[in-house]
Formats: sequence, C-alpha cells, structure tokens
Amino acid sequence: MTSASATPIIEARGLSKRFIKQADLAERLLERLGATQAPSVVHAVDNVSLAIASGEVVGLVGESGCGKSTLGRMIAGLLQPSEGQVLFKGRDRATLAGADAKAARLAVQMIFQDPYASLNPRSRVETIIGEAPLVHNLVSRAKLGEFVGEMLKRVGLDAGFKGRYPHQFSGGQRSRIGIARALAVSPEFLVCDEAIAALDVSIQAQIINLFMDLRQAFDLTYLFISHDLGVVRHISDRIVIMYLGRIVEMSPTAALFEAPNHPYTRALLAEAPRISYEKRQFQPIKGEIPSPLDPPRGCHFHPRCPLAMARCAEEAPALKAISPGRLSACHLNDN
Amino acid sequence: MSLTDADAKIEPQEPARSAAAVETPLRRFLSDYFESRIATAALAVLVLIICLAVLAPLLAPQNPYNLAEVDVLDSRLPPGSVGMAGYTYWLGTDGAGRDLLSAILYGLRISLLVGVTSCLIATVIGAVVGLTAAYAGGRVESILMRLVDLQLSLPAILIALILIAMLGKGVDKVIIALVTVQWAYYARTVRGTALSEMNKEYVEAARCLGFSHTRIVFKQILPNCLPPLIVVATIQAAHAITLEATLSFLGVGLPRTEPSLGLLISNGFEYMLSGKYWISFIPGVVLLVTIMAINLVGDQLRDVLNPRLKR
Amino acid sequence: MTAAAETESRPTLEVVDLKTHFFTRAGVVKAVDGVSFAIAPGEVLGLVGESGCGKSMTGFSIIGLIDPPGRIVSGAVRFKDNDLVGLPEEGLRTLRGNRISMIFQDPMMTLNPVLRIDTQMIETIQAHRDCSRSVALGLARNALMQMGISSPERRLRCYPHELSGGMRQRVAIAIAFVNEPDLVIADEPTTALDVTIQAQILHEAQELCRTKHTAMIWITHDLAVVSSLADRIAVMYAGTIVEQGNARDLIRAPLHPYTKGLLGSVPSANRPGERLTQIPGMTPSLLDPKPGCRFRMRCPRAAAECTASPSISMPIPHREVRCWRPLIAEQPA
Repeated sequence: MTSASATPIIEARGLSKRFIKQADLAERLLERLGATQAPSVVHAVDNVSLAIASGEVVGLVGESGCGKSTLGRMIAGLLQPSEGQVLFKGRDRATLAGADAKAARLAVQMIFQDPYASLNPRSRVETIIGEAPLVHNLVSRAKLGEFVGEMLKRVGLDAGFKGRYPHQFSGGQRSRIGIARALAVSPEFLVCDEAIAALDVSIQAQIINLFMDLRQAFDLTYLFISHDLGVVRHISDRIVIMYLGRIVEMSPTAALFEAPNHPYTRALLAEAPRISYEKRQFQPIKGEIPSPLDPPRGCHFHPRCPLAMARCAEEAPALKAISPGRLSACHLNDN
Repeated sequence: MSLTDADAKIEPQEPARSAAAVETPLRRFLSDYFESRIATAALAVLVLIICLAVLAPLLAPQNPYNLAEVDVLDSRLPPGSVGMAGYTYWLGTDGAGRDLLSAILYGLRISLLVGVTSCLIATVIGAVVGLTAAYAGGRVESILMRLVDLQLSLPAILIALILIAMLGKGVDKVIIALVTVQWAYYARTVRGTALSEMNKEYVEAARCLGFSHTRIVFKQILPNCLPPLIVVATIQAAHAITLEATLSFLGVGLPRTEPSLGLLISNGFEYMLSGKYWISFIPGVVLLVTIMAINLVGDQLRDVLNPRLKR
Repeated sequence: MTAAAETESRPTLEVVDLKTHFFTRAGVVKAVDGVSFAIAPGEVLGLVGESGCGKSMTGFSIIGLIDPPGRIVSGAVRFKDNDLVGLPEEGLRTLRGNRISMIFQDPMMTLNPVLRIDTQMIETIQAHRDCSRSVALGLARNALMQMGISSPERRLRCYPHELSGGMRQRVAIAIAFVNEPDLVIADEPTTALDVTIQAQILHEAQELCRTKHTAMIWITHDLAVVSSLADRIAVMYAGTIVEQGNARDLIRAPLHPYTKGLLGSVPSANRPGERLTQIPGMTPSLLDPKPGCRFRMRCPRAAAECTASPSISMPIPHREVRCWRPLIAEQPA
C-alpha cells in the first residue's frame, strides 16, 4: 500500500534505552566508604533510528538480549527512551499535549506475546474489548454491545462470546480477543511483540492470515517483532535485524534472503531451522550471546564472527547504505 | 473478502466441570472449594456459629446481662442441672449465676463482631497502602514499606496493651488496637501481589489504551489482588478473635458489660482447680472450634485460590 | 531404506498400544490412547505434535513419571526385555538416569538451584556406579567437554543461576548422557532457546547420538527441527500416532491429511504474501473423546467411513498411517 504523503507514520530517531540498576542501601554505603563499583547498566537499545511508512509491514528480528521488545515498547509508548525521539506523523510525541497526545497514543497499539497474561482474568470479554472505546467516548454505552460484537466478528470470533471470561477460551482465541481489543480504538499502527510465538503451528497460520486480512481491510501498518524468520519472511515488506541493542542490517525481504550481507544475518539464516528434506549437519557459530550488561567493545558481534578483523574490536561499525534501500553495519562493506 | 473464519465459530472447549454457558470465576471457585469434605464441614460449622451469634438475642434462653433474670443462688451449677426457677441450665452456670449457654451465645457475638470489624477495617487500610506502595514505587514505596516492617517487627500483644492503656477500655478502643496491629499484614500481601500483577501484559495493554492510573489500579490490579487478600483476611480474622480473647483474659480487653468469650474464660479461671471446670472450659472449647473452623476455611481458600495449584 | 531399525538388532525400545488415562472428577482424559512404535539403537525418532496431543505424556509414561490421577491403563513398554509398565519403583529407579534418561524443556527441572553443578553430576554418576569422587569428577568434566562447553572446570564449580539458559540446558543434556544411556527422551529441550543456541545444541545432540549409539526420542512441535534431526518421525494427534515413517519420505509426501495440513501451515512452505494454508478449527478435547477418527471435524477429506475409528495400516512399506483415506495418490511413483 502506498502512502499518500512521504512522512513516515512512525519514526524513531536515535532511540536509546538504558536500564540502570539502582544501588540499594548497602551498595550506597560502600560507595560512600570509597569502594566504588561501576553501576550495572544494561544498554538495551543503542542509538536506533528507524522510519516506518504508512501501510508497511516491518519485521524486527533478533535473539534474546537484542532489544527488539524494548524498542517495540518505546515505539508503542510504554517505555520512556533514555535518549532520542519517537515521531508520530512527523511530530515528536513527547511534545504533543491534550487531544493530540491522546490521539497519538490510541493510534499505536500493541499485541502481546502471552495469550494468558495479556487478558485481565477477572474481566469479561465485553469489558476487555469495550472499556477503552467507552472511556474515550468512541462509542456510546447504548451501542457498546453491538460494537463489541462487531469487533469480535472482525477477528473471527462469535459475537455471543462477549459474556465469557478469558479462561474459557483457547490460546488462539485469546490472541484474537487481544487483537480485537487493540482494533477497538481504531489504531493505525500495531506493534506485534512475538504475538504468535506462544501458539501452536496450525493456530499460528490462522492468526498470520488474520493479520494479513486486517492489514488489507483497515490499512494498518505493522511492526512485527519475532524470532521466527520463516514467519517474518512471509509477512514483512522489510526486515530489520538487531543484535545486542543495535541494528545490524535492514533490507527489503526478498533481497535479505537472497543475499544477506552482515555475517550475523548470514549465520541466522543458515541456522534457522526450516523444513528440510534431508537430515542436516548443523554447523552453528560458536559462542554464547554476550550479556547486555557487558557488551563487547567495538562491533558487538566480533567475538563470534568468523570474519572478524582487528578493526572490529576497536571501532563500532556505522549503519551504512550498501545499495538503495539496504543498510548494513559491518566494516567488511567498506572495501 | 470475509474476515470471518467459519472455523472460529466452533465453541471453545467447554470446561467440562460446568455445563453453565458462562462459568464465572465465582462458580468455578465454589466448585473447587467444595471438593474438600473437611473444608465443607468447617464452612458449615462456621456458618452455624455465625448464625448462632447473630441470632443470640432470639436463641438465648436468658439474657445473662439482665440482672433481673439472673439468680445468684444458681451459681456454679454443673451442666444439666435444674435451677431454682425450674429452668434447666444445659451448660451450667458461672460464678454469678448466669446461664453459660446464653453467656456463650452473647460472648460469641461480641467476639465475632470485634474480630470481623477490625479485620475489615484493617483490610481496607492495608489494601490502600499496599496498592499505593506498589503502583507509586520509588520513595513512596520505601517509606510505606518501612512503616509496614516497623509495625510487623513489634509484638502484637505489646502494641495492643500499650494502645489500650493509652486509649482506655471500650469496644471501639479494642477495635482500634486490633486494626493497628493487623493492617501491616494486608499491606505487605497486597503490595506483593500488586507488584507481580503490574508486570503482566494486561496492565501494559491498559496503559497502551490510555487508561488513567486510578482506573488501572482499581479496575485492573485490585480485583486480581483479591484472592490472596481474602485468604489473609480469613486467617487474620482468627488472629483478631484470639488476640481479643487474650486481651480480655488479661483483663484489659472489653469491659465487663460486654464480655466476649475471652472474658468468660477469664472469669471462670479461678474455679478451674476447684472442680468447676465448665465455667472456663466450655467457652474455651467454643473459642477453639471457632478458630479452627476459620483456619480450615482459610486453608482451603488458600489452596483453591492459589493459581499455581490450578489443575 | 529406513535406518537400521527393523533389520539389524533388536529394538532398544518397543512401545505397544500404550494407553495412559487421567481420571479426573470431570471425566477420563485419554491423554495417550493407543501409541505404538519401536526405536533401534542409535536411531533418532521425532515425536511431533501440537499442544495437547499427548506427546509429552508418552515420554513421561515410558520413563514412569505419571502421577495420580493418571496411570498407564494398558499396553507394554519393552526396554531390552524388561516391561517397564508394572515394573516396581525400585526397578525403574535403577534404569532412570542410567539406561534411560530424560531431558526436560526447562533445565531447572533437572538442576537443583542450591547445588553446584559438580555436586549434581557426581551424584548422578555415583548413584549408578561404584566409583570414587575423583573418577566421577573426571567423567563429569568429559561429559561437559563433549557438549562443547568451554572451560568445563570453571563451569563445574558454578551454581545453575550463574549460567545462561542455553548453558544450563547443555549441562542438563550432559547429565542425561553422562552414564551413557541406551535411550534418551528429550521433551522440547530447545523450544525456549534462541535460534543460534538451538543450532549448537542440536549439533551436539546429533554428535552424541552418533558416537555413543544412543537411541533418542525427540519430542517437539517444531517440524523444522525434527526434519533436520530425526531418522524417523511419528506424528501425534489427540492422543494417537496418526502417521509414522522415515523422516525424508514423510516430509516429502505425507500420508495423513493432518501431517499435510501441518506441513502446509508453516510459512516457508507457502509463497510469501499469500494466505497460508490453515487447518480449520481447534484440537479436540481429550476428555471422554467420541468414537471415530478424531481429526474428521477438521479434515478436508472426511467421509462417512470416518465415523469409525481408523486402525493402523501400512499402504506403503515402512510407512504406517491411521486413516481410512490416506493420501496415497500424492506419493512419488
């Protein structure tokens, strides 16, 4: 879907998020007495810039500690960035106030991973879906029942389910209720944080189809966060690969799978399990994923990279364009 | 293009234990609770005790605090004996000639009233403090939780005695003392549960949907803190009743005009060694049965409401 | 030609019509309802299915970890001449950790959080053989090295919480292999791990099975993992095995409509951007199941005959299927 204007619907500029562990009383005393200890800082997201056009589906891929969930939550407005801005339709969200701020907040909704923890177990489906539109005057109390029924139908559930409680539904149905809850406030942008990871394979297929149908019907834009490359390949227009808080590669989907550039991307693609018709010999890359508390200097990937050079341990590579629309952060591209 | 999956019209798997179309959490809880025979019996005993206490003025053969009805010549009669006016004292009489059965019924009334009232007030105060601490975090949480720790580290009896010494005697003063001693347990429980609930994704969803803080705390978090709160409240009610009985036994609790079971036990204590055991013993047994029933109900509640034990 | 299964030696494990039922107050949950398979020494069998199909319960039944209200109702589990069903607890205990071991999805089900790794491994070793502590320590060190764990001496002195999730699972697997068992049952061991770590562990597990000639049952819902790792695959649905056979042939041309549907729902099997083939509906409840084929409500090929429970047939040599109308027409010539 092409966007009418060139302004991206969501733009992240230089976003960083650091989690600093607050020293407790004992540690503060020790500091006073002179035994200084470097405060433990987790650099969850490190200077990430990303622009998402209206109607696009951007897949965000990475393993644990890469910061994709943190980035997703900053974009959704659930976490305050330590640095950087999030722009909604060209305007810095932090500077918006009043009705504009509320509109910006409701326009970006999130679909969560755990179908069991993402619904309030004590509320009926009607309340779960209908409370927000009611509170924000998007629908009148008189029309609420009909509205909720309509939402349920949109996600493929029977309208009669609105009187039930979450525990009476299966995982896949709860996911659908979560999607209905997000749709009820007429969002424009959905952040899907591992939205299907907890579901069975056949149910995943149903929900993926639902996402695709909804995108067409309501002109939605997605940031689809997942560790599953197969799913991301299927649904995304563009893919962003993150490693330990930084973007290492960004590329349109087809190009990424045809010719991955960054060594981490190549390893990820090679090792991602896919249905193979032969028994395979696994040739994994060595080493553990480093802890985000203590990331390696220079390029974060260099300890595990088969092509690492001396420069990689000193200097962090910049995210540069290697061809139109493709970015990669690797010193090897400088040649 | 149709968004409706025909397949999704298939009914969710009906939870087999209930045929009701809407199985509310309450109904599920009740069917879980009554699985245990002991707990069901305990609940029945508790309900019976509460009925007896509430209906005491109607049930008691004699109003033991109406001096006109009491005959001091009937004092210290063993259970089952017939008094001067031809009236059978089923549980005997105490040192002043009061019918023990009636005295126990009235005493139960006071004991339960004081115990439950103080429990309820303490619950409200504790819940508010706990929720505020959990949601506000930071310095507010530190201050409130240090207060809670302080309260919990001091012995309950000591606090109660000091307060009553300062405030004087009376039902309301005793309730104040009991509330002061109890609220901290609730605060700690609620804070713990609220913290873990706040990390759950449905709270994040509520923030995403633009709900105000008050709405999130009271409509999202609080209902989910109720299960452990109910369990603590039940057990604490038993504690409150016991504490009040202790205070009365020591003579600093309720005034003589409104004696609770504790006071009855205290009154009869001097006769224990002279063979007239029933004056102390029978109220003691009634108190014991009440506390046991409450504790058994509380135990079953805790097991049933514990999400980790969900089958 | 399938792996050495039927021709060479006697199978390491033979499960015959295993039924494990749970007697709850709501009714009887037939978690495992007639499962049969055999594994040869050194063979890897992938037991595949979605949640609620009974694959984990099958694994637990084999090793004897079913607690009331569940119990093995009928069937036999023959492990090298012993029938494990009905074997007293003492007998099972000498086998567990020694000749048969299990790897769980959560390594903290194997590892005691308050004991060091070396203590736990030595305990496992000394429980089943008579050796000194230093010998046991040496064996533990070797086991960790074989799992690709660098500086094993340091790791041995760690507590579980000091290790990452992937490392813990490697230690759990090392413990499973340390006494050189004949059979290892792995219940979704890599589901919770990252892709790169999963690849490492699959590599190491593959190596171990090959060098030690250990038979392995790899229980998972991930068809991709099992297609690369297993010699034979058994697909489970609603408590029974619906299809069983050589991995390569099964993936290329499945016989059962469920297997076909499952393979089709994986995104990589579809063209990007197109609607995925989906299996309509949901898995049925295992509580008091009705007679007849359990898949028929969702099957595109269901017919009148499917109201009767299908029996196992072998339309192609070495490929078993539980279906009245298997996809024979789609098999390669």
